[in-house]
Amino acid sequence: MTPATNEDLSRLIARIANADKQAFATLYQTLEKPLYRFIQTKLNDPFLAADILHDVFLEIWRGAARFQNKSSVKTWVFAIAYRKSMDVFRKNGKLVGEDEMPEQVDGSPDATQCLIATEEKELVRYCLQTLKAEHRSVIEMTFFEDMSYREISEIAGIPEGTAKTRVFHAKSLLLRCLQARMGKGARL
Amino acid sequence: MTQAVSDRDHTARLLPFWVNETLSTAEVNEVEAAMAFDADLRAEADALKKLRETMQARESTFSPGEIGLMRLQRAIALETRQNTGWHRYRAVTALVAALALIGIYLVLSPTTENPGVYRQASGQNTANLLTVSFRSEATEEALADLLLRHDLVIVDGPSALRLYRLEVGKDQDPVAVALALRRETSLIESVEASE
Repeated sequence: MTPATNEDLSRLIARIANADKQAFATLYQTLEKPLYRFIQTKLNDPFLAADILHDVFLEIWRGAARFQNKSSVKTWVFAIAYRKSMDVFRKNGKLVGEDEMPEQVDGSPDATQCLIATEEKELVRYCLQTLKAEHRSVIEMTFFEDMSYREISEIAGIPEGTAKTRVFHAKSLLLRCLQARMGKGARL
Repeated sequence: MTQAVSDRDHTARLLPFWVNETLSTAEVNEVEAAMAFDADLRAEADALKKLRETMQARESTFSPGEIGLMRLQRAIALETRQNTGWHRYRAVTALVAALALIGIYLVLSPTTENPGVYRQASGQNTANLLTVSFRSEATEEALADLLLRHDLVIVDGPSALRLYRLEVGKDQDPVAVALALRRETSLIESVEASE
């Protein structure tokens, strides 16, 4: 992703509102990869993710004139992607309860040391896939997109406290999976 | 004791955001003060830093890239054409109704002075279409750049002969664009104005 400030992105949105195709292409080239990754992380279906990405950018094209800078451009765009992904889950009957307490959460030093020792990207990828979509997406937003809990709250349409709690649970479940895969599951 | 546990939970919930550096100054001070006396929190912070590094080092996922952009540009062009056709239809309908109200009968003929009134049902104006074949070695990125530079949108193709129909932007002269495209010899094999 090309680094771009919110001011840069806001200027692009203003131009897109005036049907500027070059600005639209620039915005696409700036946000396409992180958005696709975000959607794909949530759905785990590359073809469906590509279709949703297409719909997200069409909505940006159609709705740019209505963007009022109340949130950052990135938050607005990711919120569209989040909403569309959730719609797919609802249509497919895949929606699961949100913020359920994990059966067992281990935040002990052993579990964290286990992660420190974990170099394999594949293991992290595997454990991410074991999480519910809601948990996967907040982990992605926190540790890959470096978003604040306020941004996550806006994107997911949840209170800030719930955003923090969801990240906490998701992180704990991820640690638990990593710990189990490293052969220490017997202690849990 | 309960208060201490509650404070620790609160700090633990802020820790991921301390790691990604998105907390306010007051929150950073709060987390760092707690970590100074809590080895477990420090260990967890190290683990989360490692997780963040690992996630950010993951190779980028395959994404639709320039093909996705072309697909979007085509969808937008079609949508624009449909909207234009609908507005034109409404304008013509309103004009006919107004004329009927004041009892004036006019015979309109489809002349070239009146090109906007009579269109194909699809609303497609073939005068601003070019038929183009691209060189097989041209990259998607180069083609996307070419389309943007000349304000062109793919509206049809590829055909069996690898021909594409490109729509010229409304403020562009199709002949001038066709001549400009013929100079893009590294990307384009042939350019023909549609009839």
